[in-house]
Amino acid sequence: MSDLLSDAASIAWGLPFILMLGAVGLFYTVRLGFPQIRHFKHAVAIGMGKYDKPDDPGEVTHFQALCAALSATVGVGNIGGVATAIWWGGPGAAVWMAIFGVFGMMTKFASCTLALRYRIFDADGHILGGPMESIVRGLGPRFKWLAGAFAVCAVIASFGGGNMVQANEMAGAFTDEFKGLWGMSDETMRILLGLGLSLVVGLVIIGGIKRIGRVASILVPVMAILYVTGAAVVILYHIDEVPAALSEMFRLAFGGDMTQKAAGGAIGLSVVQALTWGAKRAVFSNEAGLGSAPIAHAAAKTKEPIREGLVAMLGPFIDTVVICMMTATVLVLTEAWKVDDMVAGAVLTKNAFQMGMPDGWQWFGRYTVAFGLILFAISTAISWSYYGDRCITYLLGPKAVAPYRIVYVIVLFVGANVESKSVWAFADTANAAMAFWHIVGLLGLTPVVVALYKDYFSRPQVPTR
Amino acid sequence: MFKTCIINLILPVLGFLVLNSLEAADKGIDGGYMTWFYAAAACQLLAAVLLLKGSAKLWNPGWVLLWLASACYMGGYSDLHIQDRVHTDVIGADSKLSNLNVRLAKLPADSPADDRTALALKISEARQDLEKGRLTYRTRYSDRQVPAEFRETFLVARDKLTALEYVMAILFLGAFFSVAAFSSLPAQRAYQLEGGSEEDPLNLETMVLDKS
Repeated sequence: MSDLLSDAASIAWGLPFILMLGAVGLFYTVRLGFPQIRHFKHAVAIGMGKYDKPDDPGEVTHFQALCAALSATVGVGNIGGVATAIWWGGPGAAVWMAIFGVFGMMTKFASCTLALRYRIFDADGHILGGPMESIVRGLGPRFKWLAGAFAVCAVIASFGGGNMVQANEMAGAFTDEFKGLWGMSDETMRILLGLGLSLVVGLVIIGGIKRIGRVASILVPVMAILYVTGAAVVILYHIDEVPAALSEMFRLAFGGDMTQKAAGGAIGLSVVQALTWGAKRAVFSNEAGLGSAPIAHAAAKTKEPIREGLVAMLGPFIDTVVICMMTATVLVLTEAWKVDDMVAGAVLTKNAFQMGMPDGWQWFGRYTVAFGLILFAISTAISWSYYGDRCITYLLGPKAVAPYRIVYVIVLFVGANVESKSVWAFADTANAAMAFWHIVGLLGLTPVVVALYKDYFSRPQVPTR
Repeated sequence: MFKTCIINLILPVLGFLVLNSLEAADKGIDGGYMTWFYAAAACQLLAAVLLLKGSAKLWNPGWVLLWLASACYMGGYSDLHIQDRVHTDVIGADSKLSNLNVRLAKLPADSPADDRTALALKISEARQDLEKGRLTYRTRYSDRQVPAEFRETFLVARDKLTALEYVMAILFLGAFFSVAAFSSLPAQRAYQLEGGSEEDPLNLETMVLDKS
């Protein structure tokens, strides 16, 4: 069963899926003339609240919406995923991750613009938006089944990758780092961690998107600063070697055979391997194209869909281009991935941070990754509950929200205490399934995105402060 | 929409030519993916013919056939992907085992017993992985034996499989993106479909509907 699920997940996240998401990002980039470069400064200004109007319809500010979405995307993929990409695809994979991150910015821009354009207020007065509403209102009721299929997959995915996987990773990292703390066995520690996590997440999600947005806007900057500081210390400590490391990454991304073999030895790392693994991990990390982030961005206070699209565009940039690239640079600088071909994932990143720190500061490297994993897991679980909450509301109405949240918290506890391999595979498959329905809607609504984009930039945009 | 129909007529033909030029059978690759390809190509060609007529009645079967074509291309990709994994597992396990053996041989005589035991355990696990990989290969290829010079043979087959996977993935994209193209508002108007969206996307006053 486990092998079957693993095969299903690796097929779902295979080349067709990766190329599909890459192509969508590339398509929007070319169609709109590289807005991720031309309007980057404007996007940052909006994100910093320079265009905020408190009276605009919505539940959270641009910044809070971005943080809520980022708290779901910045997660295990930024720590373990990058290490996996380099382990299998070599240092060149990191460059392809960044390239796919840049294209992913446009996929997220388009999907979040549409989510804003077609959002509604539900029977409880809360915002309901995302691919399901965009598909039904944008393409018409004929495609209601497509929206329903997306919502079902999103609810399933919220219990997998957004919930059990995160709880499991967090519990694993904590028990590994604090083994035998106060004489506790691993099992007891996992039970207590599961209970603690369920309690924390439960208290936050019960307050809906407003509380999630508030908590995320504190948690995300803290965890990003903590992790980026750790990586920056390693990079600065090895600053003389950075040009050589970057040059090696670019050389291997576009050509040149690896003399140093990885990934179980002589498989041989080619450009194709670098591209495939870089793309895979980029998509996994920034979730551009899955259709999850638009659900959070739909709650933003604005009357301008393009503004939220531009803010959303910063997500893949922060997640993949900045955080993932910093992780990759640490891995390549320390050459941790060459040391032991039996170690991959988050443990490899932890080793790299430890190896790269100045003498006497190795503990800082280790704890940066361990605490980073814990914070990333908590924040991801919080935001994914909102995605599932909105999708269950779409499917069954607001009455289903309370039972959903109770089940979500219980599953979180279970997730901390079970074996994760099958859960990962199951979650990956559900995540990929979301994207297939979402992409049909996203591409089908291209004329709407283009019209909104042209209209927005044809009018003068005046900051409110 | 005429251009999209033409692309859907051309793609399967191009796919057929490229897949055949790769001569995968010579490298011991199973041809199961070709069955999927033929099914997909038939669906895609038929869909293109139906959609070329421009009639509202034929839009639905044409659109469903494009979904089917996408699914069949995905089936072809899955077949190749699993073959690829079988090859990769055997190569990976063999490489891991030889690396570990080298490390064991290089281990200093006075190294701690724990290190030696840990390495021996890893070697035992790697050996089990290799056996499992070989068994999966035999099962997948009807008891075909792993060749003596399997590393080279497998590496060549694996490169070929990667190329085939890319071809199948691109064909999938062609069919799948066509599904999206024929779902778009301009397509709905061109085929005069009923039940499409009537909202003006630029009318931002109607942006937030109140369902409460």
